[in-house]
Amino acid sequence: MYYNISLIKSQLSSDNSKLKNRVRELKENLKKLPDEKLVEIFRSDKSNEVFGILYERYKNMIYAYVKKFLYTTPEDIAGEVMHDIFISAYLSLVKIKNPLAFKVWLYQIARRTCLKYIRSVKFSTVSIEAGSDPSHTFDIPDKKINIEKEYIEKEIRLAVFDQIGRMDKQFREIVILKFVNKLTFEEISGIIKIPVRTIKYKLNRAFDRINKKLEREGYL
Amino acid sequence: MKQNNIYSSGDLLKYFFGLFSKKKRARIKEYLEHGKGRNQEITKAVNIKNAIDNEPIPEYKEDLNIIIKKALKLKERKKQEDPFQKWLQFIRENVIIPLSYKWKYAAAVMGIIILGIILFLPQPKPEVYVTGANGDLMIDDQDFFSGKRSKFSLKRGIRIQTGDGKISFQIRDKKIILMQKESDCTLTREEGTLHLKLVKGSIFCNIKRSQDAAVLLVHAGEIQFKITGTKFTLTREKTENIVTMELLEGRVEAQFRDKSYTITDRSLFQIKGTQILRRDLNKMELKKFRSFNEVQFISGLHNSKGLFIETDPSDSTVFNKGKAVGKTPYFMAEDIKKEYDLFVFKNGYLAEEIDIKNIKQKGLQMKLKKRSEPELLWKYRSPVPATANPLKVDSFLIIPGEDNIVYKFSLTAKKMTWGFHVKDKVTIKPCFYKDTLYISSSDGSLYAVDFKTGRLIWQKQVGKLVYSEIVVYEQNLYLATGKGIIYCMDKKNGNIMWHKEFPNAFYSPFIINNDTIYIGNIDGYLYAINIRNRKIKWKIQTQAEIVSSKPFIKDDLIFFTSNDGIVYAVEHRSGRLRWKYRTGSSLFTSPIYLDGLVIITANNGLIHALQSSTGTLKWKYNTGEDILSNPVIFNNRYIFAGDKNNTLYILNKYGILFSRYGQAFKYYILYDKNVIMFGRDNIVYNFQLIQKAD
Repeated sequence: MYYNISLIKSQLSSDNSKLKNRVRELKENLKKLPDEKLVEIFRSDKSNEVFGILYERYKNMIYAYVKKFLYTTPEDIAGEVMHDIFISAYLSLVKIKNPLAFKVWLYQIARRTCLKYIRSVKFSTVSIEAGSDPSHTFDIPDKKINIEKEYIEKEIRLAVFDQIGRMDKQFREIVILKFVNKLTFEEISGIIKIPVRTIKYKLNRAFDRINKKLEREGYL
Repeated sequence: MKQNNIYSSGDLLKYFFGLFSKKKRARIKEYLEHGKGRNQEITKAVNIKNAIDNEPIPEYKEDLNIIIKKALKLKERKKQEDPFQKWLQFIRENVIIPLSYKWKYAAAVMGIIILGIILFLPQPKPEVYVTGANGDLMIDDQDFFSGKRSKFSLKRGIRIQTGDGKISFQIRDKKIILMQKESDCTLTREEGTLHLKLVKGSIFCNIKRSQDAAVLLVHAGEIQFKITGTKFTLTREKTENIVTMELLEGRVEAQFRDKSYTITDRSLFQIKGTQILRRDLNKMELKKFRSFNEVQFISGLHNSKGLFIETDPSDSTVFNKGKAVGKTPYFMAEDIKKEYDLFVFKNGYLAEEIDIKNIKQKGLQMKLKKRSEPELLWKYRSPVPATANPLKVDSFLIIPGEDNIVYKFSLTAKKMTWGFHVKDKVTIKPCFYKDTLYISSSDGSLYAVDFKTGRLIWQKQVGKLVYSEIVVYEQNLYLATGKGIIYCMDKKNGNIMWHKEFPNAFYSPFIINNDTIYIGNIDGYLYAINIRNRKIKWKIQTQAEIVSSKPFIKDDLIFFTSNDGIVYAVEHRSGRLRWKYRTGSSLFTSPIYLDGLVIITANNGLIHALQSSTGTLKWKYNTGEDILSNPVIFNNRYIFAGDKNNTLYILNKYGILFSRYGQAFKYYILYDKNVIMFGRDNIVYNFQLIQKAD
């Protein structure tokens, strides 16, 4: 008997490429799944791939939340806080009760670690000067050609988030979740565990303060 | 027809973020589509909404694998550390959590039952509270010092021995007991009555009357006293077997060897071996004293004189020389009185100083005043915000405004009297000397202005970058610029008499003393320059730039700070370094002097107080926020420091915080008992800060 090695090799390679394609398809399909199903898969399989997909989906928003909430922290400490959040998320994703609430649950963990960090460092209010920390000036994406408008927007943004950084913890939380992370009122009430009407009331009060200060500085 | 409501830009912002009810939203929607005029408001609100919505989302570039590795390491570590935890986790993950979905309610009920059991169980309540302790003590044969658990229950009894120290404690229902040095007593509760056995030493008790027949039974050797509501001192000297009881109020029954005696109030009862001695206290020179003062007299009989301090409200801390010594009611012995610097403080109340020399009574009863907000005397809305530190001259303020006008403001009339135009912003505090005001603006010109009228006397161009304040010394003006040049100018006409060039810039303020200029340069050196021959006397090197620290001279030392966070003390004649102190954070402020202490506020919020001769740290105070402005001494006793959030801290020379005020102000000037604050909202406030006569 003689074996046609080249045939076998070619067969194997083709199978390999078929396998690769198949794997790629599955991965892309995975990415399209909603949160609940990914959590169920993770519970049974405990594969890091699935967690990776959820990570990619939420890491930027959580990073924005952490940065705005802890307004004066430098980048490496914000990085540590992010690490803590995702470590605890990874370790306790198995115990999650309601797979429908992954987003809210993740934000709860983020909020809890930020408050823990704040308590450990012992600062109750955050005082900042607009534009002093270089990590706060992000690169503006080149959507518009109008440079003046961009500059004005940047100034307004700095003024607004400057005021938000100065507010008390309770107002800051709600405003950041609404402005930066753009969550609905129901989601916010799930994270902070306050009824929707008090959230609206607090947001109203925060708005009044921001409006006053913007009026004084001439933006409104 | 209903009129179209006109909405402000603030309302429109709220509309865009979904804060209004359905009806209002519908109305605003109509207004946006058909509303006339006020387009400005709409565009303003839309601009802000767009700015907020277009907030770029940051990119977080951390590899997930690092996080997963860390998580697994944590898990392993937890497992290794605690096998019991591991067992618990296993059960939790596989048994309890799936069960909890269904058995939530059962668990809640169990929790409530357990709580009920805990609440209704008879618990040993603590009965003895230690209110003040000082020196060597032992409670239950264990050393006791302040900071330890200070509540004890009387189930098994408690034994208190004082060696070098004293202790005051309180039993439930307000029975106060003070124990003197070298005493020994035990407290027990048997069948509802308290028993106190005194082995040696002396105690003072103050027991309120109650309806019980016998509240306290005191044993001293073979004698037993039954006490209902009294104040008394009891001593027992074991060596000579003497027991003395001095009764201030009430009545006491004593039993000794099957005989009972009644002791009436204000009398002394002493048993020496078998002899009984009685004395009437009234016959001694006591009538002018009030009841609690007698402690001093009484203990005077046993060679321990002192002062008894009571305050209303009680439980305030007594400080001696900056250290807490006890809580009121407090008995202070004579030997402490010799080295005293007392004050009494409680949170929320004003601190009161105790001047022992002027106390004629032998006891002290003080009422503490509640700390109220500082009283606002007047406020004034200025047309523009101030750009530099204002200057106070007699009853006028010089305020450089943002519209490039320097105003003179009269504190008595509360009006602006004149305004002087300058070309560019004034960022440095102006200087006043003998009726002329010297102003330097940021385009490099120097103005000399008549103080009364506001008319220009002369004007000179000096060159840009003047950052340090102007100093006037012996008919001449001295300036230092960011180009490294020191100018000496005639103050009458502004002619430059001489100048000296340095390679690097001068940013920090300087002083002139004894014909020498002491100035810090950005290259890290502090130069001492002789005015007469313009030569450098000496220079000393620091490890970083000297940017904003004004030195000060006291005795033969000059103190200054540098950006490297170190405070230097140098002999100002020779330039030799005496000591240096590392604060551990960057410093942008100047040091100040109070009573032998050099005080520095560091950027990380710590206030350090160093001894001026040796540089040793006396105390540190943490404000918790960054401090970027200089501290100020007020009334020669208090230190004022303001932090980044503009809360003002007032400390005394031992580092104890007296009060803390938070106001949104930019600059503040202190004089007499007042403080003038310049708010961010262009309003000038004048507060009366300290209410009592200081």
